[in-house]
Amino acid sequence: MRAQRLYRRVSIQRSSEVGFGAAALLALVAAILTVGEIVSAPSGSARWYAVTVLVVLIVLLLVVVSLFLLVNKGVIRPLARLGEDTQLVADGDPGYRVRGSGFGALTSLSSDIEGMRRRITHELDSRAEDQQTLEEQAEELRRSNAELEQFAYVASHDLQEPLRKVASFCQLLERRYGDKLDDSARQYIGFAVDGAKRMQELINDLLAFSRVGRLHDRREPVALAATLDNALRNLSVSLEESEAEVVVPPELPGVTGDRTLLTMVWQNLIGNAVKFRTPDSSPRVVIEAEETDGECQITVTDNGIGIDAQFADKIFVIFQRLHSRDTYGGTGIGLALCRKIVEYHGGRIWLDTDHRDGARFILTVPVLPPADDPADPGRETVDVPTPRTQTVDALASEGSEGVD
Amino acid sequence: MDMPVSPIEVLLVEDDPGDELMTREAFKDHKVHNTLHVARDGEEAIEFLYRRGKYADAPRPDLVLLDLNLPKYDGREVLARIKGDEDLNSIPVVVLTTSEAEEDIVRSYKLHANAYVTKPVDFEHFLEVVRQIDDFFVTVVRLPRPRD
Repeated sequence: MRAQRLYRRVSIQRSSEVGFGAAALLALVAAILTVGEIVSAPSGSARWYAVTVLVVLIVLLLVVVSLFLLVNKGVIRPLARLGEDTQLVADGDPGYRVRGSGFGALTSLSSDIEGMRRRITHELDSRAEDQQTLEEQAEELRRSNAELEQFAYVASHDLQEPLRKVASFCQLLERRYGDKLDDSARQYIGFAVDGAKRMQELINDLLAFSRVGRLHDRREPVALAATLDNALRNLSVSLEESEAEVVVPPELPGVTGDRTLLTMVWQNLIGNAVKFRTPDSSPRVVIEAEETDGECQITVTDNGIGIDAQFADKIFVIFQRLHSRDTYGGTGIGLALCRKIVEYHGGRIWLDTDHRDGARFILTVPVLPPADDPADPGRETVDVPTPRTQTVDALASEGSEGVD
Repeated sequence: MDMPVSPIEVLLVEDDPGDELMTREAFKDHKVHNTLHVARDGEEAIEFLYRRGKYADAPRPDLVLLDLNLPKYDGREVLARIKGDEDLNSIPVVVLTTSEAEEDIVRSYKLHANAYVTKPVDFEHFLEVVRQIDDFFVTVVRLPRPRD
């Protein structure tokens, strides 16, 4: 490309030189011919005529030459130089000053180009500065996050230690001196131990909650179906014991996020469905998924004790419970955790207050375009012996089979 | 053929008096009365093992229960010391600590700890764990008994 530009520049000069040269040569030739005419012409008016023509031609020649010299100095050379300088800047040296010379119009053109160059350089510099600031801020955030994690871990670890002492020695007290204590004393000890154990649970749950988006913060393609399988596997004991039935959708999309966190959402929702089941009835959880417009809407419906509409917001608040500790265990962090995780993934989760006979949770998550979906053939499916798991399709066909 | 079970010498390396008491209580609950010796920090543990100073008459322990978080010499250093010494490295060392950290577990096994046990938060479970450790190292495994 450089050679091309050079050629262009050279040719501007060259062609002007050629043009003027040709004109001068023409005039010269005409002058020589006229001189020849003068010498060979008879005396008298013809001779005077020839001399006049010669003078005119000489004047013409002088005019052409001086015009050429003027244009060359005032326009051609400065233009060539301008072209050179601009080419240097364009080729990647923004610091090179563009020189101005020649006629007024050309000098102002040059100074405009120089002004443009200065502005561009200024832009580039401030852009580089902004980049620097951003990097420094990112580094600061990373450092602060690491500090927070250390603090959270140490705090929870060191807080557990005294609790262990309280719980353990109360239990020892009961063991060694139980026969010397009356029922009230044993009850007091029971409450003390229970309090310490609950505090331990709270600390662990708080730590898990604080880790969402801090420790677990991966952003990679995740197949929702795989995370559901994981959750069902983790819950296999309680699903087995309660003879639970979980209906899974035939297909689930892929999302961008953290697979550990997404597994936790399934585990909490399905775990809750089992925990808050109607007595004397085995839990049944139906999971459905529907994709629209880059988003997937998932509903998790159970046949349990349900949730009163007035508590639809309260249940998502951390450590808020709707039942006494005697009836249902847990710290009340499950749904708060689900909400935090779903929102971290750019989605929403809420309770469907229109649904009766059990609880229905609806959550939406933005999904991956099909090209990036990890749920494509080639992913290995693990055979999990989940009790009575069916697909929605199978259910439908079952229904139609009964009709004839 | 059932070998008669004889009591073993256990060295507990633990700085926290509460944890020490709990471990003693847990051992008390067993039929076989093993002798429990206690070293309060890493330095005392080394002194005991080498039978130096006030520990000149100390027996050679058949089992060491080692806490990792100790003042002065850290538990990990004690472990490295024991397993690095030709004379001491045959003594089984069970790391008994509150830490669940992956790096502590890996590091301990890399330093040739014989086992790593996390102290349960619940006393009942702790009792059970101590019982199992005791049973395992007294009745199940064969211990080296160099008669010196």
